[in-house]
Amino acid sequence: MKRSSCSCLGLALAATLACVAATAQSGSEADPKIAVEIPDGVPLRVVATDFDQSEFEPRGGALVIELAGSIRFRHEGGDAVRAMTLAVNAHERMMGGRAAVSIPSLHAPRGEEFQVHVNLRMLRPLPLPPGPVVRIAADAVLFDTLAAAGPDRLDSARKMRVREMEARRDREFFLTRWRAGGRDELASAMQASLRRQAGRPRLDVRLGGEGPATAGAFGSPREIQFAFVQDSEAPLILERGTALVTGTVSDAPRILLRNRAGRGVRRFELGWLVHDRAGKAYSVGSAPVEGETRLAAGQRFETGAGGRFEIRPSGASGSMEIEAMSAYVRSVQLDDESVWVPSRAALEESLLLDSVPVSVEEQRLSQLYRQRGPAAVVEELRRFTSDEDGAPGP
Amino acid sequence: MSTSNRHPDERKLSLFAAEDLAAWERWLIGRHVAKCPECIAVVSAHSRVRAQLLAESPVPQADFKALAHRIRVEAAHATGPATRERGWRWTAAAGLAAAAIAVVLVLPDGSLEAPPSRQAESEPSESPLQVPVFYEGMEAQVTAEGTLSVRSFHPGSGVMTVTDYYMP
Repeated sequence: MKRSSCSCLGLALAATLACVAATAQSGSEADPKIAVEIPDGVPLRVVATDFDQSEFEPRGGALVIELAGSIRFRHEGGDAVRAMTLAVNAHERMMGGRAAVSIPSLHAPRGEEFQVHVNLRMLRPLPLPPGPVVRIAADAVLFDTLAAAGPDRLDSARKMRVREMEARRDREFFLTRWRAGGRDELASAMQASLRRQAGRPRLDVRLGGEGPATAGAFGSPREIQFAFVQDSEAPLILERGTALVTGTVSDAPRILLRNRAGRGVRRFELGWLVHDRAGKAYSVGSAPVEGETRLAAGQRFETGAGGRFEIRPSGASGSMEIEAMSAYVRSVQLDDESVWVPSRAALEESLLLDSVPVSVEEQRLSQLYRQRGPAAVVEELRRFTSDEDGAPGP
Repeated sequence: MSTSNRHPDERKLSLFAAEDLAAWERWLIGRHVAKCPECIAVVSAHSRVRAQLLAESPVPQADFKALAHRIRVEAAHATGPATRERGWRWTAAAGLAAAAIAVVLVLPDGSLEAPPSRQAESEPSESPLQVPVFYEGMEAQVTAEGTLSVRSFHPGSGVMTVTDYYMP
């Protein structure tokens, strides 16, 4: 009796798993397991989805979702689409259950179709309730006018505007090099970018839990004072900063800053770097910021957020003791929704270009150069600028 | 004989609810918990208490994470099986910020190896978010929201994608 009941249970479980796997892999509109939603006000239509390569594997009490596929959209609005962000949800409260996929540097005028690739791993607990396993919804779409549409629950519009401003800055830089010296000059600039990207020290960063770092092999926590790379054009000035560090683990830094622009600031990002004993600088990303970040003209603000981060050099078997930290103003969104980012000249003068990741657009153009050569880069630059008649220099 | 046929002790279940076990042990216990109503109930009870603690106003100057860490250190030295009552006290005192009822450690290559060493008693608590293997070679950067952001390039279309992984 016991053996028979076990067999029945096993068969039932296998049948359930087979159902989950079979119905979840298809990406057609009729399939409810991967739902793609376009909220009202977003002028896009889903033309096709293909998630046949996705896999759904139960492990213990959770379902591991290897989401791999693409969505084809058609733009049915007016201004050209420059970027979009998709909110991807498997489970709100489970680690690995939420993600956002952002696609910058699109070039989709009205009536044109474009494809978005989604490739990530997610988790959700079992058993599965009725309904889609994964919901993909457009969170925001950015147009070439820098206006945005969509619910924007993830602050996607601002992030896309920042990337677009960085992209325009860097496209202009490479376009200038092309105009000055033609294909050879552009190739030289691309090779310099690739060398810089390859030579930049990299980190493996892991998100730790809440609360202060506790004592470890590196002794008691110590407070590190920040050094700042100030940009005279930045709307914010950084005044003071500290972080509690134990060996390779750091709390989110606390940085005091002041709005020196003559108008209000809505949001900002501060670049965060750590330095090892040899003085090598590594980019961690942005200093986490919690809560309301609106600043009136002249107002001061101290960042602070929960969370700890384990920081190690990429590929290193040993650890790195954090010797020092520095920060810089990475982006600022003003009250009128305009976005400030550092100029390329400022990044070069401050030597930040050697330490911080290149912009998404520069990375994309350099990858295009690697794969397809300078002609492909020229074509891309022409697509995004009005320089249809631009000619290479002597 | 399969481990899943025996009930894990109370202490293991409380640590499981708090996601504070080595990967292989979490996987073994997870398999049992998924099929055992009694152990599901115990894990759920621990998770409920944790959720209640999280919802309460913070006690000024109380560091639950440091307290939880000290409790885990003591648990590592504890002898004999924990009683159900002791398990409740540990979880209540810890206020650990874990997620769901059952937890799976997702590793980049899909294997179930133990996570980076946590044997040192004084190592800080950690719930690492593993970056999937198809981003291997591309770095992850922290964002102002505290997410991990990873870029990838699709050579066919020439499109860059930026993926942000959110903590619950």
